[in-house]
Amino acid sequence: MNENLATARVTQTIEKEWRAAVESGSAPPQPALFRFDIHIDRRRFASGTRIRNARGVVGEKVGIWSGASHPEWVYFVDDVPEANWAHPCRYVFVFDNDEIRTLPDKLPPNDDGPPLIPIPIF
Amino acid sequence: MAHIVLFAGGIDSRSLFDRYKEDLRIIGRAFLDRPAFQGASVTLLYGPGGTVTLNLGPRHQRVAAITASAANLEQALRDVSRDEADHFVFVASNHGDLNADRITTSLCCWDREFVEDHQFASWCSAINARRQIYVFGQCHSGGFIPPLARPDRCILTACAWDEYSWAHSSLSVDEFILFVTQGLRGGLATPTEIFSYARLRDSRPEHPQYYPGDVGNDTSFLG
Repeated sequence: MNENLATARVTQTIEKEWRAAVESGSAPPQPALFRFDIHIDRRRFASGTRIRNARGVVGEKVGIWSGASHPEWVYFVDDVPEANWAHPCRYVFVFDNDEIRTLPDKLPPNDDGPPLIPIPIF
Repeated sequence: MAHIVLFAGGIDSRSLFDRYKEDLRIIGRAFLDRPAFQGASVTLLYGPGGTVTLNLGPRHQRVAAITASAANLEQALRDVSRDEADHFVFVASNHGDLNADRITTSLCCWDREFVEDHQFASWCSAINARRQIYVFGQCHSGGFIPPLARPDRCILTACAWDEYSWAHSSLSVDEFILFVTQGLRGGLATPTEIFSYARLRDSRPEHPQYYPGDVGNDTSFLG
């Protein structure tokens, strides 16, 4: 999937989920969405490129990095931008077979990985 | 004699928000303005340390930060324990985490280190100041009360063990630290009064916690 399509799909999904939560009566904070500034091609994947936070490799325990397909684009959603860490957040993986998997987490990515690019949602 | 230790680990450069420096500046200065703390020694642990300094008032115009690592935090607390001080203050801003056991909690340090609540309490066990006050602003900070509770200590936390803590809506300081500072500045006499003041004004979805010990209602605590 190309970058623009991946970003559009992720953005629409995050916005739709937020609006559904609002309509259901809860008052969730507006999430902040970021795209990791990296395209994980086969060469990068083979060389061990991974997304990490302070507790380890994100998604390792649920096989994000060990399946037949691999993540191409990765997004980070801060669900409570005005709170201190640790708090709810999500890593969204767009795979090379176009599958999108969202992984709940509670810590942001480390500063020694790819830069984060803010993506406007609202 | 009094000791003040100010701490903000920050995890790494991506998560070390400017407001943590402001948290430590305003609350550090507020304590130093109280009579019991005017001659206090101050240890500042902030992120990577380096060139960071804080102006904490006339007697502490350029307090230099050291790296907020777990090892430096342990050393700072051990250094405090060598002295016979009347008063001890510890303030933590920044991040905290609920550990994998989902019972115990941690305080975040610089460079992605964590200090667990019971570990922190063991480092404080040798501090023999007769009056000790701990202010924790990090997420899950209520988890630090059970291992740390002792009659000579009072403990104020921004949130319960299973909650996260919040910035003020301005994002320039943390909510709970701001109102504790206002209580200190307003001349409230005891930690209990200061906690009540902060809890009533805290408008974020967090539930500040308090352990008064035997010293929380001591009107001579803050001078």
